[in-house]
Amino acid sequence: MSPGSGSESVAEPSGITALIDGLVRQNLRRDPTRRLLRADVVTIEAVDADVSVSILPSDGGIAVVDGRDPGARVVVSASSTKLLELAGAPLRFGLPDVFSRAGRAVIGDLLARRIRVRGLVRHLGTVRRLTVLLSAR
Amino acid sequence: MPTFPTDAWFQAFIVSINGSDEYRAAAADWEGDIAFLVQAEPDVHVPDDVWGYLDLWHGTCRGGGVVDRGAGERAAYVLSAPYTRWKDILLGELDPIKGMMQGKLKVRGDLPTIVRYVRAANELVRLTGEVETVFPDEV
Repeated sequence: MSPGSGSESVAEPSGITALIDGLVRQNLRRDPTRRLLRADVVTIEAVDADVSVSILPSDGGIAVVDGRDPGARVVVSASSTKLLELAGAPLRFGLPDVFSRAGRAVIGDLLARRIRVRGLVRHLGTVRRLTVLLSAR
Repeated sequence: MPTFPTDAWFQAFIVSINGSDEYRAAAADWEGDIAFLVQAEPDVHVPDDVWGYLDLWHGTCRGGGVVDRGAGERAAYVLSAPYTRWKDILLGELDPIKGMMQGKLKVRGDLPTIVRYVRAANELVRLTGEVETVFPDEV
């Protein structure tokens, strides 16, 4: 893995890493209360683009790094567009809002496994903190 | 047929945007100008960077065209890629969102806003493929 934000950069991060890193940074500027807990290591995979990124807590805040993290407790896999739709969906209690059309569309994608979340049930708290962290709302 | 990426091509693109019901619906609340930076590739007859500019407002395009670098850089959002990547997008051979994830198409601007309007962004870039286009490396 090569580092994104919060670490010394040894190579230019991939597109997904630059995008997620930028989204996390801009979200934290808007709302500094968004955070991950110590064990909240997450990998996000854009399956159509064959790229992945991992998000993990670090001393200074949150690190976004290229590639899969073997210790990730939650792995989100979807097409590039579906990943962005997930980040853009309105949330209620940290999960897609069933009372909004965009939220229902994301829930439909989850049920149809167009968006797969490994660890969703076992680590629901991590999933909620992740969705809040990445939420564009 | 206009040649990509000339001012005539961007004018045809604007006509295409304003004729799209899908874009109008997806971008109904969008407020913000976008610049398309087509990076030079002299070996395929694109000797200089070209900045295309679109003044996008609530599902329509109020104007735009080829602008100088200063005007392009002042846009709220900038999408940039080398000429051949844009050609791939125009031909439908590269999905723009997938291209962003792969780092082939770079985006600058307020990312939370772009993410909220991903359907509009996708539709906008898809509309580039609806413009009948001459490519300078095929002339």
